[in-house]
Amino acid sequence: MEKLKISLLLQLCCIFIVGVSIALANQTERIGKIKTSQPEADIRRDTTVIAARAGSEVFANDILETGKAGNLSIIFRDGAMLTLGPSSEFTVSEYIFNPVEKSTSFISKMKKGAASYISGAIGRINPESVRIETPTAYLGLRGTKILINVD
Amino acid sequence: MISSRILSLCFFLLLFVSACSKTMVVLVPDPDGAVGKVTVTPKIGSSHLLEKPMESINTYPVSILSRGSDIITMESLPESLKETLRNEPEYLSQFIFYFQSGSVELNEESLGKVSLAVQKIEAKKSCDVVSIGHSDSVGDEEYNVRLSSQRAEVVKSMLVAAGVAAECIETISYGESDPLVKSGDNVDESVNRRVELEIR
Repeated sequence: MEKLKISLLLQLCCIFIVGVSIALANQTERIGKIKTSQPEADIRRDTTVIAARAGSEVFANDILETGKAGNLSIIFRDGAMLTLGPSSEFTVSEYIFNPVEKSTSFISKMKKGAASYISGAIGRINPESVRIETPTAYLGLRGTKILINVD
Repeated sequence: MISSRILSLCFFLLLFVSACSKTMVVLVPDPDGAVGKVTVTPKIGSSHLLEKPMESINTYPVSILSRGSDIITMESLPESLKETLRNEPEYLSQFIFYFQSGSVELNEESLGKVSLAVQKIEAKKSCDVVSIGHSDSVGDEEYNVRLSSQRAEVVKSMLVAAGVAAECIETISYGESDPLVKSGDNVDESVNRRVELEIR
């Protein structure tokens, strides 16, 4: 009886650990890498601000921001490329890229500034899953390149 | 007198609202020349589909200012967008390697592309190379995921053998989920049996 209890407890612990690590993995998975940047380009993550440099890793919910003279470009895991111009702010809140299961999602918000976006495999596999919100509109992309200016 | 006051009030109200916030969206051709589509749904007002090259629309916080779409020119873009495009890096370079049916053997013509890819990686000084394996729809999904993964690894090992640092190459398997040519299940399609090498 005692043995059974212990094994049950161990099993529960295992399930818990697996669950937590899956949750953490989803949260900490890189969604893209900075390709180019000029000064006044930052990644704001929780309370820290990191200068965006070529090769810097980008995660979901990071706030990408540029100052008056800044710009940056990022290539996402699915091959999509985003270039931000001066005085811009962009965040990807949900990035799911599971091509085998055809489970994909790119939900983002552009608060201000100028951007060019070229969609990648997410836009091909599941076109309706690329969404960008701006202060006045929702954009739904079907495999394309667009320019956005928010002022 | 009163009507002119109302008019000027309206004018200033319009000026205020238009100064508030506005989103301009422009549909432009992809790097390969294709033109996709974008649905623009204003938070207030009805949605609009852009589908022509250089088709553009503005959305405002109030629908009264909304007009339909226009075809515009690159020269008429706002300065901030011109500046963005000036700083846009070259889009990723892509090489496609084709395989024999159900196999990890590259076909003859694709073998010759390995050295070209290596040259491009060196020229771009890229340490962000992705080898993406794909299959046609012959066989079940699980088999194709495995096959695609092996194809991606084969291309990676050829690049490594030619001197590219292994840590700069990531492999991904898409299985049969992203065909170049759409087909039904169990179709032998040589164009879909491929590895796309993205040099980012």
